[in-house]
Amino acid sequence: MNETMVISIPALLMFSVILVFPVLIFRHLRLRLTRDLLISMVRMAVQLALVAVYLEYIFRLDMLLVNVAWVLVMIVVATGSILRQSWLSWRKCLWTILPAHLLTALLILAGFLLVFDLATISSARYLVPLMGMVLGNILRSNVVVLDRFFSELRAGVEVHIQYLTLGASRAEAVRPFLRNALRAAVGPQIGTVATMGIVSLPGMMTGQILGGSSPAVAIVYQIMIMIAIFTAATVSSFLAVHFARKMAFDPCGRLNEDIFLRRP
Amino acid sequence: MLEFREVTLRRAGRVILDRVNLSVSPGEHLALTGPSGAGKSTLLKVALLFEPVDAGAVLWNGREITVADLGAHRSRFLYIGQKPLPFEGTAEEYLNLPFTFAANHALHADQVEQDRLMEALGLDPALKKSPYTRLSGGEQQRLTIIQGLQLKRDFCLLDEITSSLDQDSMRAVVGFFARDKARTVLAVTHNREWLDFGFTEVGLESGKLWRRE
Repeated sequence: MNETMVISIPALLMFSVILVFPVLIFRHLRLRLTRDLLISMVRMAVQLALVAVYLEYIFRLDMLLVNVAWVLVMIVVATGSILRQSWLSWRKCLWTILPAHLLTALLILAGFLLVFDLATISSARYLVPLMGMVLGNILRSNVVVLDRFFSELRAGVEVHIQYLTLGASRAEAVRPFLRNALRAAVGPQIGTVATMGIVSLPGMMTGQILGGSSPAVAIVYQIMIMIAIFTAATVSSFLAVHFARKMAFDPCGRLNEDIFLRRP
Repeated sequence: MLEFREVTLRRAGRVILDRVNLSVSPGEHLALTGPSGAGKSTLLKVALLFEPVDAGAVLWNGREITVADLGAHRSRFLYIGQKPLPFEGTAEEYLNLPFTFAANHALHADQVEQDRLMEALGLDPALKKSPYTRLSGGEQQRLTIIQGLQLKRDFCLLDEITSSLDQDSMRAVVGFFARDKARTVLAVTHNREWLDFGFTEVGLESGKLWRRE
């Protein structure tokens, strides 16, 4: 029992007709977003279709090495995406920032081992979706933290200089910037956690309930994943800035402009 | 003794400092004047090696300062900027901020000294218990000056520290530095007050530095 009802492709296509409403609203407001919307939707469909093919294959194969390799690929892609979205040079920063996400992933995996046995967590069915959710959130918080950190540092050159001349070490001198950036990156998530279940029914729980799990099972997973997500977002954001800081300044303590993609 | 020797600095194709020479001897009080954008603040940053020069050198007691001497060199100076630092906490915590840095662990906040400095700059010592963000810009600025003064460094590089102060506070601050003969002061300013208090004028215009003797 409890098999999820399969949605047929024609049914999905029929459903996509409701996109007419956002398109009509865009036209009414002369918002030129229709093209972007349609391209994004098609991109999403193609990407998800490809992932479905990969995942079908990975799930059927279910080899530890392949699963781990897949998670590593997800981490590298997430790091690349974070750098691009926070306007940092992929070439200059990848190897500096990547360890932040590898370490965070290891920490979260160690946490999962307190809940699951090794065979369960290393199986594709558990490892890939759980780490996928964690990495998705790492991505979001890291884009905010890096973007905020560097834009505030740029605007606050005087503050940084003042800290350094007051005797602050390099790490101490960026702490006010790190504090603000981290607050911006993970502060709102605390609010999200607090309203969970009332304002939003979380995606994982919804998926599990649709998949046939009882709500009682689903909420335990949801609570676990929320803890994992929040820890991962905070730890990875902190480490990303910590590592980024080391290459962000020249020996005199000025921002190294060549690590950025565009020159402001 | 701090010395700028033949310092030339270009930014975006413009010559900011053109073979600038200046020696500041111990105990001297200099006011650096000139139009906005003339490079006055830049000169202070050159002294601290926050702005690399295209030619020339910064010397301390006749020795050229390089990146290797950076930490020791910067710790000789009390540098204060135009704006107070952003901070969350009480005014007292703000004053104690420098003592939280590992490099200053040998130093300790001295309550009596803090109160004395606050009174000297026209601040009520009772303000120490107030949240820093509730204070006015002028009060925050004077706290920033006191914050630095506690470090007992005898060479002051001041970057328009009185621009946000009212007349009375400004006179208190300028008078304080003018009376302090133990400290050497190089103050960037647009206010004539500093000259009235006996500072020697050094002007910077179109990259050239001149000194009124």
